[in-house]
Amino acid sequence: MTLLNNKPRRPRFERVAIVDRFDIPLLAAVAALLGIGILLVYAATRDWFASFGGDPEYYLKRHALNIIIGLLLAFGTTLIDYRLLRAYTPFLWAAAVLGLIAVLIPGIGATVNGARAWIALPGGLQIQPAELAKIAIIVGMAMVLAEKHDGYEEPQAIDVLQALAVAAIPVLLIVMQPDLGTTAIIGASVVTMIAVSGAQLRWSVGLLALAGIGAFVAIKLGVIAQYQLNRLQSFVDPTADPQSTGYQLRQARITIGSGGLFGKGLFNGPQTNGRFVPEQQTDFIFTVAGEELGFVGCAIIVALYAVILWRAFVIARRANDLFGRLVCLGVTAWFGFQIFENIGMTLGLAPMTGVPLPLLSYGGSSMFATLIGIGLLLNIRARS
Amino acid sequence: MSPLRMAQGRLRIALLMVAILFFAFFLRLIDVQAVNAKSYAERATRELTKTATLPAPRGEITDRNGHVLARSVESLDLVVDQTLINRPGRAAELVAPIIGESISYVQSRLTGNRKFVYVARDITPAQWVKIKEVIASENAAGKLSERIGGFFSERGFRRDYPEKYLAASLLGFVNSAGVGGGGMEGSLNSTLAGKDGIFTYENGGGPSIPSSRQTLVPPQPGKSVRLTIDRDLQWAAEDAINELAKQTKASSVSAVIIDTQTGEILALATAPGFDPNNFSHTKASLLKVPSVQEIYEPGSTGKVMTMAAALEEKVVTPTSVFKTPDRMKRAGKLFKDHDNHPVWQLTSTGILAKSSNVGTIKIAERMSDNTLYSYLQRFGIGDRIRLGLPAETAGILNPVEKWSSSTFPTVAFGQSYSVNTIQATSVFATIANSGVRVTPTLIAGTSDASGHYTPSMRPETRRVISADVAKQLSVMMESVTQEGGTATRAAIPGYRVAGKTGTAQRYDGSCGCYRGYTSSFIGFAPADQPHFAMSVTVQNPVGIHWGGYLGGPVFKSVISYALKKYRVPPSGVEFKPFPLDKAGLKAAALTETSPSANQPDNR
Repeated sequence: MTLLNNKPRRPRFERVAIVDRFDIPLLAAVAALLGIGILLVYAATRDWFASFGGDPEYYLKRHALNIIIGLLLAFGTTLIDYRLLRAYTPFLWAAAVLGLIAVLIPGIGATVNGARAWIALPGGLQIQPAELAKIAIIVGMAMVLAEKHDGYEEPQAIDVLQALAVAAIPVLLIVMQPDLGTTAIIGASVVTMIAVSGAQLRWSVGLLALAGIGAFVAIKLGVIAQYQLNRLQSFVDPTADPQSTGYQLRQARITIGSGGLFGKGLFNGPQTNGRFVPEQQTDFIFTVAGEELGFVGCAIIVALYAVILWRAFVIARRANDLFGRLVCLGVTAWFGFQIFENIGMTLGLAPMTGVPLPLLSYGGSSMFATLIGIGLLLNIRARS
Repeated sequence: MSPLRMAQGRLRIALLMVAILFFAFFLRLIDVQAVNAKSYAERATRELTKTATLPAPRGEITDRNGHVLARSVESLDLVVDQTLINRPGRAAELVAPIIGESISYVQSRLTGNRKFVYVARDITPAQWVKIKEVIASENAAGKLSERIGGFFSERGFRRDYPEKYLAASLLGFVNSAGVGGGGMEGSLNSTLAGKDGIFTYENGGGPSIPSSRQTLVPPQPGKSVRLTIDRDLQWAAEDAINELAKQTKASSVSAVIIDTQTGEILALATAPGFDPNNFSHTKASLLKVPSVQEIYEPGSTGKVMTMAAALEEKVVTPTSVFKTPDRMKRAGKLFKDHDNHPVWQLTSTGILAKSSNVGTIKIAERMSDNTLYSYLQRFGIGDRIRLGLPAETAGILNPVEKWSSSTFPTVAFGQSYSVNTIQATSVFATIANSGVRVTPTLIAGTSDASGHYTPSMRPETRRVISADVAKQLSVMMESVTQEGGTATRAAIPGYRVAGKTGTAQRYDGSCGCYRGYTSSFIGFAPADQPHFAMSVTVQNPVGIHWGGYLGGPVFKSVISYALKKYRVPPSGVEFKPFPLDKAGLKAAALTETSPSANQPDNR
């Protein structure tokens, strides 16, 4: 005992203090979901790839790599004081806007499932600038809304308009892709941030009304592509388009339902192994959990998301300044709405949109953006 | 209110909204996974589980020594559901080079609304794997809406006849639905076919899920059938009659070889033949087995039965002399020999050797209608043999009550009743087998999938004439192949050959009249120790139509080969013929003390 006590103490690093102040329940929930996600992505793709002689671990390996890169990005995000992040925000925003413009240029942008949302890079890599834009918009708007009057005065009309301009340019570019799911998520973040910034309530109400009118006009003018209408229509009546969209939704429901209370067991879902649900490793990853892990597994996943959102609220409430709080709530609204869109879609509670499920779905850009978002939350928590 | 505090209030509203949202998720999950789980699970099972048939392999048909004549070969067919093909042009570009077809052809097979279309028959498993690969990689790169689906492989069996034309009409064929037709394939279909099994499998959006296959009812392979046919004799017979069919432009030629001791049919050849591997363009008439399906009036070959009856009834001896003019009136009708000749003094043997109709009628007239009829019956005329071939005929032998006054003389020389080739050959095999008829057989036995062999039932045997009479008749029939007989071309050096020619007018059903000829030669060898009986029957020859002239050489070449193959030793005992006429009889009496009046000594 004495020997041990006499051991020389290791010098403490300054940085360790930040890591020590990380939010443990948040970290645990994120880690649990990432772990579950690895298993689900593998379960969704291994038989499919094996069936035509591909590498069954193809998606598993890439997914793991995405997570590692995402974790490094998240850790990097926590290193700099979030208040200093403002300095980088214009660059981030400009990069996102340039990416969104590039996507629309034929030859650079790749069209996947009807949307021109991807930049194809050499080596088969693809990045989705819209994911990056979420962070740029959240941090950018928080900066504009909080910078001048931080804590002492509610934002004035000019600030709100400036903040909306920050959001509007990338959002318009995303609408042009068109990617309605991401637009809705960003919209949710924008309305939430303006609402909790203390700005007049009429701004929030007005924005919601604008969204409604905008959607109506878009449909009338035919800006919205046919496939998007099909998706909305299938939400109302799943038999309307049984071969594609309706089929996906029906299959998703059947797959989740057939799991029952305790599921078929990991890797044992016949619907999943038979690849009845398209895009199961990305947008429909929740159906894998539904079939193989059952109600218990789904409930645990939903509960883990609840933990993340709860911790995000707690961090927002404890934030020292309006900027930190707005960033937190922007991220929270983003996560919350994206989870709602995705799980809601598979359960038939929301219309079909092609958005991934944060932390679970396969997809590099989404994974990076989500983990950077988590990094922002940890950063703000550690410095409050 | 400060912005921060106001924000706190709005924060709570947001928190409440999120809480409601998550609560809704839980409710919905309970609804889907607990309350309605059963119905979803049932729907999943329904769309997941499919049943299909497991084709059973068809049994083999082999010759008597196990040489395979017909077999089942595993095959894989490429099938598409046209309604699932998204981009037929692109799909054709991908698949055509793999199966070695033109892109335009494949595209035409892929385009349309049919759910089951064959694109290629009998592809290799490697080709199928390649097709799956190229489509999967195309789909992995492309958009969801442009995925190519609808390609399937159908596993099954293809019938293969490794000897091609050999015994084709006897074997028959198997159609694309796997049902046998024609010869043995048709009549033994239920034995050969086996029973298809059933399996269920879990079917994914694309391929069936590996390891999900469950056999519910295992397929029962068909039984294999062993024929009494000897492949080599069959080949020799076909080779010879194909040549004959070409030379004579006959509508058909058939040859039958029977093992005289066992009754087993060693060859059953038909010309012209066809290739059962590719029979779709074959004329329907060629798919028949004329040896058992076609009947004809035997003509002169039938005279041996009249002679056998007369000898057995002891109304004549081989040397009984008859005054034989070339024509004679009976029942108001004129009966003629085939050549004009002066009045001959022929012995019974001479009548048979020269094939005189008049002489044969005179011999028959020493017996009653019923006696003659009963001998024909005992030789198997009018009785279906039941070889196991389809549409086998019994021939026609009217009962005596139905005979008209001219029937008896006609029957005596082999007309007014009809037989098939096997029945006709069996008459000679009976005489060769010392007068005991062994019912001809074609199926030696069957073996099941585990190789257990069940021989066919032993054929029925019955004595028709005594051994002594059979021997006498055999010697008499040897004169037919000797100088002065009608079938000298059938003689085989070193072996004694007995036989009888036949040239009958042929009844043509299409005009209801007699038109053309049935020319035949039936014989057996060696006459002193018989082993093989063989018939060669030519229907509708153009030009020369004498049975001995046409059939003799075929008999000679095929039986020479058979004797060699079966290592039958040459005849050791010299042939002592009965005299053919009164003059010969006197000469014999002068040179030798008393040989021919009594039983000839042939030992």
